[in-house]
Amino acid sequence: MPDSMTQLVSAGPPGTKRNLVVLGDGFAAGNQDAYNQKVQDLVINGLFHQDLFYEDQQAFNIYRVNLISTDSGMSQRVYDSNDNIVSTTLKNTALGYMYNGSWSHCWLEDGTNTESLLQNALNTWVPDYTFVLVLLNETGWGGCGGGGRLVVTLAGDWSVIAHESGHGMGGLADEYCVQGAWPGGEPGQVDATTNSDRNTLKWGNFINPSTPVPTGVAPAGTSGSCTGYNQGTKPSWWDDNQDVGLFEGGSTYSTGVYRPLINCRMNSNRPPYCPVCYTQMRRVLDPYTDHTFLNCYAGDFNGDGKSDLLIHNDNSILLYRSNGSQLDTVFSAVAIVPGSWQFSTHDQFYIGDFNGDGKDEVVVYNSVDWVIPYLGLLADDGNNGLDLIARYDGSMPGWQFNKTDQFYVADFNGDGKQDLFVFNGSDWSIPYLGLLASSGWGFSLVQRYDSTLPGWQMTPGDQHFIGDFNGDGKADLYLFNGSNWSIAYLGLLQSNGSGLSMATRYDGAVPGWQMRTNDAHYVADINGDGKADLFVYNYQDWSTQYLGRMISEGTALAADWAASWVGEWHLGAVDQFAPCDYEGVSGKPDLFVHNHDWFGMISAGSSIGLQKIYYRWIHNYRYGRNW
Amino acid sequence: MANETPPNKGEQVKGGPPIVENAQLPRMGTQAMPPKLINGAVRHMTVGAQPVQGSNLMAPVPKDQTQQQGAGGKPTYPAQERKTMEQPAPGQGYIRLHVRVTNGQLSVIGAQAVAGPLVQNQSLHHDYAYEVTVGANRVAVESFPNPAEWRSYPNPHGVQGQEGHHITHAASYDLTVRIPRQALSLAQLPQMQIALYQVSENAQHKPLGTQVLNTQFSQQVKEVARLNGLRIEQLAAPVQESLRKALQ
Repeated sequence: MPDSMTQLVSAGPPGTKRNLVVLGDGFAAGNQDAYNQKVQDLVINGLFHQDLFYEDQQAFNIYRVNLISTDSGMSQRVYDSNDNIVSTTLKNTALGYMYNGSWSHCWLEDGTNTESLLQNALNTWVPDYTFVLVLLNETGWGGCGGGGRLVVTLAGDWSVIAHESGHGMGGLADEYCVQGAWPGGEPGQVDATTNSDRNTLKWGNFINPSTPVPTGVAPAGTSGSCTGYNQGTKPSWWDDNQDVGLFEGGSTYSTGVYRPLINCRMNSNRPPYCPVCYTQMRRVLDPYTDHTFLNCYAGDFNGDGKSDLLIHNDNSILLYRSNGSQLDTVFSAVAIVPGSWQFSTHDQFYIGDFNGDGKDEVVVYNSVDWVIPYLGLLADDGNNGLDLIARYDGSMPGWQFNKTDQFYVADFNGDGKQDLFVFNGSDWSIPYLGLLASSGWGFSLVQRYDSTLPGWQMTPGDQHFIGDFNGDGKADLYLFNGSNWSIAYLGLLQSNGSGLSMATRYDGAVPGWQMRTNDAHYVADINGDGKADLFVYNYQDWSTQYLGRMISEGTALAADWAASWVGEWHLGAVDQFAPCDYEGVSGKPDLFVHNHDWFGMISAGSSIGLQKIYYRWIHNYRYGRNW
Repeated sequence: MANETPPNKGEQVKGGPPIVENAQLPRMGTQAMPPKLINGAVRHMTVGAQPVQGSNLMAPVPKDQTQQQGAGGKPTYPAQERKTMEQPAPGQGYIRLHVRVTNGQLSVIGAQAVAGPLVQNQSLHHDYAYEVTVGANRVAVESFPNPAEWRSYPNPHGVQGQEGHHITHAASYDLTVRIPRQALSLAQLPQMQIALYQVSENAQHKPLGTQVLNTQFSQQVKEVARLNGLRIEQLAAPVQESLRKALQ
């Protein structure tokens, strides 16, 4: 059996990512399955299924290198209490590490040729490496890390690696206390300090003003233990892992130095990183994660009535669950989901309840990155994630995919399952509009319009917006064109279940709103009357930004508008909007607003107001924020 | 104010007049805009099909295209076939130098070319950093935790004195230095400098300017070691060969 390499996570080119390489030593040919399973358990299902590492998978390429050792198990070295070598038993292994079982000898050590063997393996099997994890086929306890490397035995689990990664990736200090008084000056790490002045404290921005500083003071004579909350009564709402204060004891010392949290991962491995350490880790990984908020999609993926959020970046997606007022990560996938769908840069996402089960599914279309266009239907995997249940490669009956196909989600037949409109105005000699009905497990064409719709001449610049504007339970079509004619047009085409007819067409203006070329429309039932209305946003054609509302009266519209600012959010050219209902309150629609770096949650019912704002990443700090 | 739109020039006043940001643009009115000319003529929308023309038409709609549920549970599909990647242009990619630090001396002991783009740090987030310069120009910078420090796992069996990490500092340790390919040539190697710094907390998390680190941060960075120019002929033969190949 020759040596080999398998890339377990492919997030992007090596120079744009952090590259984690896992190698095994002491695994003979017959041990390779066990090695592969251990890597899976420790790294993929272990470390990278935990909080920050799960959220930031996109920052990592992960390579597994299978090195075939001649012998199974590790060379052994034994020291006596005076550090003299008592015995050495050598085995012929791929990297030549020796296990010594001695804390003061880092539990293990290099053999004569280990460094050159390791360098040779790295240069042979991976294009670049940032972090190297070596797994020894040894059941005794031990692990040794430094210089971007971590060498471990089979005895530890993911939590120890997560703690060590805090040192190796984030440069974090330990937050446990096993010694006496701190002997030095101000430590350089973000999670340790000798400073007890709230005004200049390095993590002061994360401390609630009602929290005393210092929060925990070591009693005289303390040695070998960390101090908890003892300055006043600990509030009932206090979370030892997420609420920040100033606690004496840290950097392995018990007095004279402080840590930010009672119990962070840098204290006891298993808890998540505290806000201070989490922020440092995300800062360090942020250039390699390269997440933006440019591609955001609202959908109720668990059927609780509150809109959740799907974010697409390059070849990854993240799902965030809404609890009514904030978002929390529930799913992260890089490159592929079971079924299979391979995520890629030009994926287009369409959200809807296509099988009528009360939870939203995801249609994803890509006509750019592959040799033929693909359309996939992704559904709940039963564990907060998604997998593929149907895929069309190149075409579906009656509709041939093409580069600029545009899809729109709509239950146009009122059967409780969302369907699709599909439009192509530029890849063929004439424009086409198709109505694709969902069966719950796929789609079929029920009507195709070639060149014209009733009362409307189709042109490439047509923009389509879906909503049941007459409240009959069947999704209708708002059709806008501001560029192909001398004036702008807005048409209201109503669905009878299998076709469309023109209800009203506005030429140039809707009462209360003068239509312009760059009007951008978003559908929502703004007044909660069961009829779909339109938000309309225009930042280009007027002297200031306008955010307007067009309220449907069945087959007609009435408009009003506001301008420039929504709370802390200054409406601007870069903003995109996603109508949603993250509060889960019937008749009270909301908006997600987002641009490259910022994400906002706008409550938009009777008035428009900003409820939450995030910068660069979504994380709910108990107090303070990351800008 | 935090998001990307430039700040407003004045305070918003409830009930006040709208702020005019560009007086050249008209206000929103209540009447329809006058028609604009397209190719010199007014083109109003007309109802009725355009004549079907051209040869690039979709196939006719088939009579029976009812979607059938697949038997036997969820289907599986083969991997999607990605388009052939475009070859990177000459000069793209980066050089990875394997640098050893021993007794304050830097030496290059390995070199490889890596295809594809390189993300460069925009600020320092750790207490050590290298900086590569050619002449007065910085061409690469990266920060990292103390590269000399090694930690053993704590002893889980409660042995007194072994509850924490056993920390040692290696006398010799390695760095990986990454340099964009287009920023370096064989001829520039004698002018290339690699500096290893210890970075104080006051220099961390701040945007990097165009100045070299010891100018921008002055006393906040402390030089640990420096390589003043690289003479390729003094490298080991395999390293010479791989570096020449990488920089060709």
